[in-house]
Amino acid sequence: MNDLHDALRKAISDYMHIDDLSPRKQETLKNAHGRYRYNYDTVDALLVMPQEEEEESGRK
Amino acid sequence: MFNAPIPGENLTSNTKNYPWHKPPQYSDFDDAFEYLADDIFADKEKMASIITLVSSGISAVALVQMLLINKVSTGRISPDMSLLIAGPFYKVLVRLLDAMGVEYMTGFDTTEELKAYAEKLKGGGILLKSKKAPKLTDKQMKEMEEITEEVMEEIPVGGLMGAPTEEVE
Repeated sequence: MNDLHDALRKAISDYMHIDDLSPRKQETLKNAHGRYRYNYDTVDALLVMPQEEEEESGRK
Repeated sequence: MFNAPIPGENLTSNTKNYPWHKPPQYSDFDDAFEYLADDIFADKEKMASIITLVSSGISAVALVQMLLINKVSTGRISPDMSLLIAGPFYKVLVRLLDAMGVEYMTGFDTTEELKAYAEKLKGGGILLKSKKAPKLTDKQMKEMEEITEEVMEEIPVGGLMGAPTEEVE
């Protein structure tokens, strides 16, 4: 079970710090979730706070 | 001595007894994600427990690990599914905690962040909202002193060996 602990930590770290990964790994990670309904972009848009929305619209 | 297992006995035992050796209840990612959302995020009591845990210093990563391993050990999801779902689950949990204004450790904190959090935790700045110490009246202070004195008198000194003995002449 310790291995699963470490693997879970790595999986979370990769998902949360996707920008730090190499482009190839980024693509692999996004493709792994891409075929499901709750893919990377959907989960990202699930709980967007009003403050974040303002920031995003400000950037645009 | 005679009850010891015979060589090769382990090969005859049924290894399909654990839930994670059997097919999981939720084999589809979307179903598993919705199940977790319903089971944990939609449950007020579980969310209250989560908030208590993260406020008391348990990191969000440790919490997600604990929750997902629990789901694997009860046969809800497979170990591979837990790895696939860990990232999205963590992200949603962290966003919920942010939305609720809970202060927590992410699990990827730097040493400085950990120190700052430990200081806050020590000072009670996270769990205790009211920083004012309760003010006691003179009567209450006197009562407290009396109780303290009584308690101090009752404490035996020297343990059992130090107890007064009857001197035999």
